[in-house]
This record gives sequence, C-alpha cells and structure tokens, in this order.
Amino acid sequence: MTDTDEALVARVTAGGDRRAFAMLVSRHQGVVRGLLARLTGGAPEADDLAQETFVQAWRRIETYRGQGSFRPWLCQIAYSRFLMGLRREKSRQRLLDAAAREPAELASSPGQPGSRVDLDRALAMLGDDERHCVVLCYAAGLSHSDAASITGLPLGTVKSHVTRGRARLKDWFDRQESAA
Amino acid sequence: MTRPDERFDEDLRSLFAAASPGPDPAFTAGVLTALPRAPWLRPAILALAGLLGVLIAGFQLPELVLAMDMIAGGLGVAAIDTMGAQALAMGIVAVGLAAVTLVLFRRGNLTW
Repeated sequence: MTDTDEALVARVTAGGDRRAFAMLVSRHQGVVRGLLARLTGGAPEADDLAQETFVQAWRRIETYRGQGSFRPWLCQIAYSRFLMGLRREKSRQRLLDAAAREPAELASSPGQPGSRVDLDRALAMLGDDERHCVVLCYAAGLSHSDAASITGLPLGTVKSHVTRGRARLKDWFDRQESAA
Repeated sequence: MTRPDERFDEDLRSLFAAASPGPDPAFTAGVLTALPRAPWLRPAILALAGLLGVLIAGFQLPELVLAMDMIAGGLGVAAIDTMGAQALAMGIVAVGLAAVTLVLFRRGNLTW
C-alpha cells in the first residue's frame, strides 16, 4: 500500500525521514518541474528552481498543516521561487525577448503542433498574469481558488485570466492548424 | 476549422501533461544531496574526530618520545633537555593538527 502525502509529511516532520521525503519528491517532481518549465518559458534554470523548491519545502515542512492537499502547498513555494528567480536573474527580460522573437521564429519554422516548444511559444503570447494563471490551473492541475491564493489575485480575476488565456491559446493553436 | 471547447480543454491538459517531465531518479538524488544536514551533525563529527585523534596520539606517545630521542640531535637534544621529551612531542602533534585544520578550512572542507 502506498503512503498518502500526509503520512509521508508526518514521517518527515517527526524524524527528518529522508526516504519519505524522497518519495514525496518522486511523486511531485513532474508537476513542479513542469510548472516551472512552463512559467520560465522552458528556460534551463527551471530545474534549479525546482530543486530550490524542494529544499525550501524540506526546511518549511512544519508549516504544512495538512489543510488541503500537499500539491498546492508545494506549488505555492514553486511559484514564489519563480518570482524570486525572475527578479534575481532578470528572466522576465529573456522571456520578453523570446516573445518578441516569436513571430520571426514562427515564420521560419512552423513547429509541430502539440510539441513542448509549440506550447511555450503559445504561452509566450499571453500576458504575465494570464500565463501564470493558465499554467497553475493546467500544468499543475490546481483549482481556480488554489491559483488565486497562490498568486494573491482575486478569484474572479483568476477565472477571467484563465478563460481569456485559454481562448487566446485556442485561437493560436487553431491558426497554427489552419496554417499547417 | 476550429475544434469544440471541451475537446480543446482536453487537448490543452494533454499538452501540458506531455510537456511535464516524468520522475527522474537523478533529480531526486540531487534534491536529497542539496538538503541541509542536521545542525548538530557537523560539530558531532568534528568532536568525534578530535577525540579519536587524542586517543591515537595518547597510545602512540611513548613510541613517539622514543623515536624522537633516537632522531634528535644538536638543537633537538637541547630542546628536549629544556622542555622535556613528552611536552615537545605533544607540541609537535598540536602544531601538526593545527596545520591540518588550517589547510582543511582554507580548502573549504571545514566550515562553521
């Protein structure tokens, strides 16, 4: 029988059980790494941020009260690491540069629909808040209210960001399909 | 031609899922290596290493004194006459340990 997240967290909190924490890392690394990869536009430092996220989670594990699932708590840490990384390494500028280059790249290579690069290109078309909300809800599979508490935005704003972002992505992918 | 909203929702979720990396044991190992150690572990290891050093030096001291008696000549004899063989041996051991500690600190193997 596999342990629940809460049982593993209890083992980590009680005795610093590294094996239990390794199981949590294995279980959630896909979501955290995927979330950070999409937030950073596929930047290579995404995995460094993911590692920092788990180290921070280890340090702050006592603050996890078991209210709600472990994943939103972890995503909250990942999102704040992302914002810190953004400030620290001026990733925003790189992301904007990538977005500015995007039409030229599209013209030279149509891209395979559904590829990771394609997804990052599509996400680069969205505004920051839209992109963050869409990625939190679709990449991490969080609810709108979880995304609202993580980003600090009102629930209604998150809902409209997700709806608008999703519509713009749909439009982008439809145009890609028509062009192909 | 555009696709229906429900299908796009599923497609989008699949796209994000496909773009997320799977479990990677190397990543997990990297995280575990980066985790901070218990705060008492380093001082405990250093204290145990120190005690072990003292123990070994204590066992070896008589032989060390004899060896120094045999090796020493000139100034060595004068130093032994002045300080006493045992004190001189302990002094040399202390200087050696201090030098090793200093080298380890400078190399970054030992930190506070």
